Amino acid sequence: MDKQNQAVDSCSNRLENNLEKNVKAIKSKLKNDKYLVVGKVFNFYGEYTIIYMEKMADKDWINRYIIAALRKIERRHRHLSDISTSNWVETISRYVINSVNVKKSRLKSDIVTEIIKGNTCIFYNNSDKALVIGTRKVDKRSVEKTQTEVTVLGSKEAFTEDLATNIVLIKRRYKTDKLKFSNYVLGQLSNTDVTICWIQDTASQQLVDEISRRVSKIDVDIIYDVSMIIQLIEDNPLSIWSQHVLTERPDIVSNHLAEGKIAILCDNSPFALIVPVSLFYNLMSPDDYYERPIVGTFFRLLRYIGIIISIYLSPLYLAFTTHNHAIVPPDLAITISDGRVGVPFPSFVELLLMTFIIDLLREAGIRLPRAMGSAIGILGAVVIGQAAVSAGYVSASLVIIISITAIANFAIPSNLMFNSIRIVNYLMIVAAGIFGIFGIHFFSILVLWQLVRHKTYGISILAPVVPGKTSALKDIFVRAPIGKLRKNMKKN
Amino acid sequence: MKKIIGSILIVIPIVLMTGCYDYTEYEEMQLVFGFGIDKGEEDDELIVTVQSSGFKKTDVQSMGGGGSSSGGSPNSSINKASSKTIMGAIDKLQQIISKELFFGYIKVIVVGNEVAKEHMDDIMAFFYMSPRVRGSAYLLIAEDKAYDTLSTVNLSDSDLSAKSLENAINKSVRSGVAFPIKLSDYYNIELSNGWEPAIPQVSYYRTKSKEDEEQGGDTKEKETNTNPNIVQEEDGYHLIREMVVFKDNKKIGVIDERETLCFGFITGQKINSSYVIDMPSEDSFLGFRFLKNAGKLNTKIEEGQIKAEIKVSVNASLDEYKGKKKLDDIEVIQSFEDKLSQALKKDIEKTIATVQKELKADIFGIGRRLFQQHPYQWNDHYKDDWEELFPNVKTEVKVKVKILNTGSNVEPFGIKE
Repeated sequence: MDKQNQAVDSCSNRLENNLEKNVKAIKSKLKNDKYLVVGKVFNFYGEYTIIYMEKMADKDWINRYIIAALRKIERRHRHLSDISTSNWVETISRYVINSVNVKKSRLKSDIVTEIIKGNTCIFYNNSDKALVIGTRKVDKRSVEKTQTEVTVLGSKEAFTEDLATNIVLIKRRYKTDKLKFSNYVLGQLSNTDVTICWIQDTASQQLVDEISRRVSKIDVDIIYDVSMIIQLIEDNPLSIWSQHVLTERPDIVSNHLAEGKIAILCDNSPFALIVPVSLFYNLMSPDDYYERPIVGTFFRLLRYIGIIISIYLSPLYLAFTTHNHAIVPPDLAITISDGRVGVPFPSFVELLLMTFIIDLLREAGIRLPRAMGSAIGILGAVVIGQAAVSAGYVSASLVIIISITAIANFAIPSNLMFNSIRIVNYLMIVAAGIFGIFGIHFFSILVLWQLVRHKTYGISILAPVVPGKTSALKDIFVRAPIGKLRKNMKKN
Repeated sequence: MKKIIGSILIVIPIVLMTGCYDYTEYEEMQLVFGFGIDKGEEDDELIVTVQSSGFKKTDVQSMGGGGSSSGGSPNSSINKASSKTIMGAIDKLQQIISKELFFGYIKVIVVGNEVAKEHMDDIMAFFYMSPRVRGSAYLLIAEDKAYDTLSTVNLSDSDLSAKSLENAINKSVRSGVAFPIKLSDYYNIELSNGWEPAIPQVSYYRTKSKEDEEQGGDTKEKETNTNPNIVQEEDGYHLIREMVVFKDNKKIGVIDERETLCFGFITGQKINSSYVIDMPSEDSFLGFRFLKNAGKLNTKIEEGQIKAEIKVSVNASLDEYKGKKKLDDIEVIQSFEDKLSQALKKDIEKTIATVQKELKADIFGIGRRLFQQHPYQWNDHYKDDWEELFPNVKTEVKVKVKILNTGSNVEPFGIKE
């Protein structure tokens, strides 16, 4: 924070030795803000001007501990006998003010920023130093249950929009001094606080330095959300695969920190960013770790099968009914071909249309009020599907395929992966419709080729699988017992 | 940037030049399920019958149960055409069938009687070479004409006669009167030396409805005589019973039901049928059901004489017993086992005698077994003359029976204390 202000440390930015002029300068910068409160307090030693922003500073506290304290100073206070314009800040803050969160400042821009943040600023008669007291208190959401990443077991706390609260939620899970934070203020207009945290000696110092360097180089006008930060620092902004984990839960963040990853938190954003991650971390759910090993392995494998189904089922169906007919068993062929009686669209168009409608339904369901959301979802699926079949627009077997795909889509735990997989599914449908099973093979090879070459922060995106050491695979496809995962437990 | 342009320039010609080759929807295809071949009126002509599942236009309202339209109205059509070769006949069939015939789902191939006697090799050459017909289609020899067989529909089983034939073949292990043979099996057997195929025989029976009898000779249907022709379906049923024995791709004879059962024992086919031993002298009979059987064939060459040793082991259960003996006595059970083993041994020896001496075709695969166990002698001496040598092979049959359970009661029915 100081870097920006140090650059403008010119003469015009310093306070002058005149109370009126100082106050006027500050007031003019904040140009008739309706909520700016400027008040005067008189006591034996002189005149103080207090400036704070209503609704952002804690008015009660200011009244009780600053104003009342200043007024109560008696005539000949023991410690204030040698107060002067040069040392009044230290004296007052030491003996009068009931807070130790104080700071001295001489720069106008600094003072303006602090007032906007919600702190209080006190001027003393004709001194060029000002006392800044931390009194920030803003309305914020309390820590609530997570909405987007619901699991059965585990803590259900979620981050809020206040950076301080979020940092506290992480700190209480790591009561050690190895948890390090480094703060930045990004955005020329927004001056948003951004914090990077990691655990020393677990995260590689090289990685920390690289990410810190990239974050500090960000030069934009506002930072509206933490997802903007990741787009500015990531290696491959045009790729469809997300190279980070965006999570709302502090327990996930703490789990990743212990594995040597780095978390980025931003003010006004209830999500935390974790880098660098490989593709598989977006496919894990914290439930796997809270359950027993075999149960966790079973559900993890179930999820992987669900993902394969959601990518491959509709393209395979399309390939088998249009290009490679002989694979289908004859009795199934009768059922499918009877279902297609009278359908006006070719299979390819029909499949794309239905997939598109399902995606549209899902997108619409996000914005519906919660009470109606699930009802519309079921209604939409059943009624639209049934009505479309009865009217003869689509064939019945296609509706089944689409529904199974839609259900398998919801097995994907992370929203980021979900979007990537939808795109891959669409492209795979196009490949299957044009080339049949050969197209599916070809496109799968292309996707795998791209994935294998994809690197983030020097680590491949398919990380434990790509170097291929089996000892690293114990947490990817299966979930090994905790003793093998946490190396510290072995010492005991 | 160059990479993106380069990859686009590569992908577009791939798509434009290959395009959607081989994209066919189901509604453009006529799915063929049954295939029949007969001898035509002229000498070297063949009649090809095709049974396919086209779609019949149903009511628009009933589209709601679109998938069930095949359960309601009959959905198959049978066409036949005649030409010199099978390919020519298929071309003629395309004149009457508007959609493209698709042979990938063929369930049964029915070969008519006369064709089986003479032209089997031409037909099999066509199937062997064509990749369109899948090797898992079942082969059947019709007792009379293939197009009559295929046009008989058993409505209580399925709309498509090919499907009801396939069901009957699959279940024939229950009765033990025929054993399924697929097209790929036929190629295997025919192309290996020292083994001749035996194919199940199918016969059809038409049930006449009452209206036909009342109207007498006044038939309403017009007989049409064009070359590709529609064949009317009639109600009836099929029986798949005896097996037709081939030699050199020609039909030479038929083995009846009991002989087929023994053939199954020798070659180790799955048999779940029953067997009754009648003992009129003791006023009792035994009814067995076979549970598991295995057949082992061993060949030996002793002083130039080929000997084949056939060991059959059978697990049976006693399902029916009329008599007076109690069934908890191990001696009694062993005596039953002996009786069954002797009866089976007699039957098997009789079958082998018939096949060896009368039909002279090696359907058991003794030649092939000889090749497996004595390859050098086979290649040097026996391969070329196997047809003449086969009737002189000495066979020895051993049957081992084990009765596994004897029902739920120990005392036979009818004994009053």
